[in-house]
Amino acid sequence: MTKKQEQESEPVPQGQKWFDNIWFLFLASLLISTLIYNVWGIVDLLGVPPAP
Amino acid sequence: MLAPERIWWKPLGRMEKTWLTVAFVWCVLLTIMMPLWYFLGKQNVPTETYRTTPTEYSAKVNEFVEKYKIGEETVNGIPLPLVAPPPGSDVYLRASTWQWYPIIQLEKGQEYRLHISSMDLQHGFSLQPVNINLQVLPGYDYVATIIPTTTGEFTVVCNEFCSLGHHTMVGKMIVK
Repeated sequence: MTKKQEQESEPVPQGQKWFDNIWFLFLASLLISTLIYNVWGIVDLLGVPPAP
Repeated sequence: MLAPERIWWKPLGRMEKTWLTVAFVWCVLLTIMMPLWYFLGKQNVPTETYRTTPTEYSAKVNEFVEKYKIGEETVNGIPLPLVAPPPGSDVYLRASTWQWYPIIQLEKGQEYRLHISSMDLQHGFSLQPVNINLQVLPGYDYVATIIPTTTGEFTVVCNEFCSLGHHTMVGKMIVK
């Protein structure tokens, strides 16, 4: 087996698989922004007490 | 443009590691400074907020004005009540298109609880020339504990664009 063939048969690392998957990145960005901006914001607003 | 190598996932290089460490340490430092500055800083945003309605808040402002009114002052040709609340009391400022109501007179070195709310849309409280800026939203009563440190007349301007008359939304605060 040549060096080139050896390189081509090497398995792709798991980290690269995640980062090469645009759908994973797209969904992760949606999830993170929804949690940090929307959900946290709504939780914060719901916690405001009524004026005494 | 060239395609990346088939396997680009490799251990981090020395420079990359250094920069990531520097960035991470900086993030940690800034995160620590946020709560620390709340205790050490002399100007902090209000952390006391209540839910209210324009009607409820307006009633409080009117009661406050009636109780402590000492005269009148003219701003932009419009006469507004001049109100001098006693030290330590609750002070109410109302933002609406396009007016800050009333004119408040405070005493230097005394503590007050300054309430601010809006009657209609988002406004921005900006006290000049000391440059203290607070966001003002309808439906929320923001309470800032303040101690005026300088005597004089201060201008309150709106620094959040609130449609046509935004530039005319000017008020006044007096410290004696």
